[in-house]
Parts: sequence; C-alpha cells; structure tokens
Amino acid sequence: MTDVSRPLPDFADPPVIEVALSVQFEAIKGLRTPQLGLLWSEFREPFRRVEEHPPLDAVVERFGVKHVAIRPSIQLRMLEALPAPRCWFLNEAGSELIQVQADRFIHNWRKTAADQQYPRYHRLRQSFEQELGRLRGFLQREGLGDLVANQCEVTYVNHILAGKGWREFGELGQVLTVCDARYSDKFLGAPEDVRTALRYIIRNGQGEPTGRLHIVVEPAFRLSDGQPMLVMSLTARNRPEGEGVGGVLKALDIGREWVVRGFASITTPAMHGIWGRKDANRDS
Amino acid sequence: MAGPSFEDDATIPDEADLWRRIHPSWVIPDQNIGSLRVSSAAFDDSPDGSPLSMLLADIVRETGRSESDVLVGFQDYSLAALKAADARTNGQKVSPTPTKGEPAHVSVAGPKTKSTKRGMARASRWVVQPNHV
Amino acid sequence: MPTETLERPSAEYISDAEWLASRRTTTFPAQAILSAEPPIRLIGSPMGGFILTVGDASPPWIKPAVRGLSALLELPSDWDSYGGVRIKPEIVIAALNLLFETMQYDSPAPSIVPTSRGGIQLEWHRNGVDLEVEFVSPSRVRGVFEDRQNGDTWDRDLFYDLGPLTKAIAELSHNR
Repeated sequence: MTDVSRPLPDFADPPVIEVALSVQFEAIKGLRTPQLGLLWSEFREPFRRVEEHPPLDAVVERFGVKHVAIRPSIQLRMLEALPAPRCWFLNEAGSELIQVQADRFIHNWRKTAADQQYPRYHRLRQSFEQELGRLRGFLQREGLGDLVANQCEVTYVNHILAGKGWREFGELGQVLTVCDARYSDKFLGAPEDVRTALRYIIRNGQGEPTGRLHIVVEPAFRLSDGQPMLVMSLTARNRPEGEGVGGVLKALDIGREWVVRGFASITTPAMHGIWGRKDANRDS
Repeated sequence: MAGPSFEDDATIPDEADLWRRIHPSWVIPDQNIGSLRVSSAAFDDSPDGSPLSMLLADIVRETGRSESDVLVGFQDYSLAALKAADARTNGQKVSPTPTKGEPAHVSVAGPKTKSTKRGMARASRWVVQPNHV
Repeated sequence: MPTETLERPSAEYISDAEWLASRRTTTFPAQAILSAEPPIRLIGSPMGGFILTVGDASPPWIKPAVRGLSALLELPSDWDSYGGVRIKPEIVIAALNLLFETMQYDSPAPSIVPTSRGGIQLEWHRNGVDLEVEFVSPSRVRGVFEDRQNGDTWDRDLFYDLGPLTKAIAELSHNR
C-alpha cells in the first residue's frame, strides 16, 4: 500500500529509456483504417510520420480467476473482417509517438539520443491528456461515440548497463533487492544469467485489488561490444478511477506512483547512488 | 433522458392482469421452484427507450379476443401475466398507451434495475404455457 | 508494449536495434512434448468466425453453452417483437471467456438468455441459489446473487473481480 505522505523517489539520472501512457477502451467498431487516416490529420503537427503495425491484444487485470486449464490456449475472438491496424504517429525525431487502434490509445516517449533527457511524467501526462481530448473530439464529430475506458497502463523501460554497480549477470543481487543469491549449501555457484518476472497487486484505500504492477528483468547484450545489460520493464495496469478522462488520468497517476516506488523498492541503495537519488525522506 | 412522461392510471386496479408476450429464449428452467419460468430479461424497456410494453387483459377480452389470439403470428411464444400491483410494487407506473392496432396496450414505465426486473419476473405466472423444453 | 526496433545512431545510448536479449539456453520443454491433449481446441476459420473443437475430456457444460451462445447470433432484428436488436458477437465472446475463467469441470451449464438491447444474460437457478450475470457490453458486466437458504445476496460489477462469481458457481455446482 502506498504512503502518499512520502515524496516520490526522484533520480537525477534514471536509466529510463522509454515511457508509455496507455488507455484501453471498449472497441470502437467504426475506427477502422480510413478513419485512422482521417485521425492522423488531427495529430499531424508535430507527428508527421505514420506507420502501421498489427493491433495489440486487449489485456485486463482480473482477480478471483481460477488458474485451472479448462480454457483454450488461444484467446477466443471473432474474425468477421481483417482487424484494423495499430497506427503510429511519430514526430520527426522519433522520440515521441502516439499509437491508436480501435480499443487503445498510447503516448510513448523514448530516448533517441544519448544526451536526451527524460522529460518527466507531468509533461508526458499533459501531452497525453491533450491528445486524448483531440481523439474524443474526433470520435464525436465522426459520430463514432465516446471512449469507455476499462484499463489504464503506465510502462517504464530501463536499460541498466554493466560496469556501474555490477559486472556479471550472476551479480543480479547487486542491482535487485529480491535477487539476493543465498543457497542452502555450496553446491551451486553464481548463475550464468537470471530472468525475473514479478507481479504485485495494486490495492485502493479500502484494500480492494484494482490492478497489478508487473516487473520483468531480462539479461541482454550490447551488440557493438557485447557488454552485458539488464532490461527492466515496469508496467502498472489498473482500472480507471471513476468515469471519463478524469478517471483515466487518476488511474495513470496511481500507476506511475507504483512504477516509481516499485523501481526504488526493488533496486538496491548502491544503484540508487549511481542514479543520483535525490529525495530526502527515503527509507534506509 | 427526455421524452414523454408516463403517469400511473389509478383506474387500472391493482388486481388487473397485465400480459407480456414471451419469446422462447426468455423461458428458463428454475430448479428451485421445479418448473419453467420467465427470465428477468423479459421485463426490460425497449432498446429505443420506450417503456415495457404490456397488454391490459380486461381490454383484450373486451375486444373479443382470448389469450391464444394475442399469440397469433408469434410462433413458439408463450404468454405471462403480472398483476398491476406487482408492477407498482416494483416502482413502475402503469399507463394506458393504446395504439391504432392495439387498444389494450399499456406502458409499464419506471427505472428497470436488475432488482426491478427480477421482482417482476418472480411475480409473473403463465397464462399460455411454453410448449417447448 | 514498448515500441519495436528502429534504426538510430548510437553513442553511449543503446537503441533498440543494438541490444540482443540473451537466449543462450532453452529452459522449458516445448508444449508439444507434453502428453496431455488439451480438451478444447480453438482455431480461426478461414471463412471468418472461429471453430471450437471439443474432445471427450472437455467439461460437459461446454457444448450446451457454445450451442446456446451461437444460437443467439442467429436472432434477427426485432427478434422479440418489441424492437429487440441483434446480439453483439463481441458480447458472445466475452460471455464464453467468462465461463472459461469461472466454471468448474462439473459446473452446470447456464441458461443463456438474450436481452432486447443486444446483450446476454447467463442464469443459474438451482440448489437454492439464484445467480444472474448480465452483459450490457463486453466490459459492462453485472451480477446478482441470492442464496435462498442463508439469505446471502450481492449485486455487483463482475468485469474486474470474478472472485464472487467463481465462489457462487462453486456453490451451485454441488448439492447441499
């Protein structure tokens, strides 16, 4: 459970390379390829480039579901027509983009240059809110209805290069607090590599589950020199906190808090020092 | 939602029967009572927003028709009845809205919560039994 | 969810194109070598729609549920003589997925009822329990439960939290 009285962890040089704010809603049947093309004109300045990609599957954080394999392994869906694509509207630098499909709207920021600074959540949130408003205005003018949001998602992707605070994948415990390699005996040594996937339940003030924080850490290599790195993704996915755009933004704020506090909680104080942690009231 | 308002007609007595044609898919087995009954889904307003349509049995009979006549042209349908009192107890207003083709038409108007629809379904009884399993 | 690779110049910053996930070993057996045959197979049909094949080991409620849901898709406009709209296919899918997530092997199949607004209602009335689950849209799902024996009731959203529904289905699945 979060303690809103504590300021959020703050880092001068966080290893974040991508942030995505997303809202999923009930599929708008009329939002197909031609309409997406018209929609691009709403965002053409500054998103001058467009790409098409396959649509993302809908995902809902559910609770109380039993995990017995009665269900088919393939998600059931009707294939009445070719699915409409997911369109990317990108700025010239490719550093920010909007992704739109019949049931999803996403704003991404990504680091495209070494000296590029993370613009911070509040600026991205402001952009997201404005762009979502433009989408809603478009839907209204085209008679396509309004958004009925059902999930909100905040994702942060971090690249943690070896050489600062850790060297080998077997030293994951130097980076993550949950990976302290303690064995019952001396049979096993350091692992060759480690993959970690964790899920945490997000609860509201009444203790009810409203979403999940997913943390995935994967080993990777820089191609140019083979230097090890860790790719750490944190995704907070939860239900809207009320109706309308306000409910979506509130849910994104909660998700962002879980991502930031989760990142600080799961990484070691030694790494915090490397990333320049600034907040005064951090737990020891 | 703006639209015509429907007032309860006190001249329709509480014990008056209101009839509703029941599509076969609205007939469900209820093992708790050991028989087929009407689903709560049968007691909702129409998709265009107009209130629940029913027929005032007394007027049907006054026009020389029987229960079966009401189902002519509605193959496999059955007929359920509700007392006006049961509609009113569930927060509904019973308002005569005769049409050119149906002088017995009444509108049962009011919020159709799940509780309301279930209440009316439980209070209903068969006038013409379903002829299928 | 993060965006796919793009060609970007690299300095100390590492672009998506410049890192390779470690895939040195296979750690888990492939599904194909496992001996259990899944009781249900689902494949997309080239004509659109889907084909669900159900084996002998599948739960008994599957066939009547799928049959009942498929029949709703055949209902025409004004199917109920009161202006009822056609049942939305995405709601049929949502209802079937919900059953997969909450039903036990020996759970009784629900009664499957169309609503005039194009939605679906799943109902069970047995073992002293009344349970109704109404789909207004794929993500607007509401359930009502009443236990006639002990008086327990609830009326709640069932899109996010299926716990009460799973429990209720378990209660009506077994004689008391």
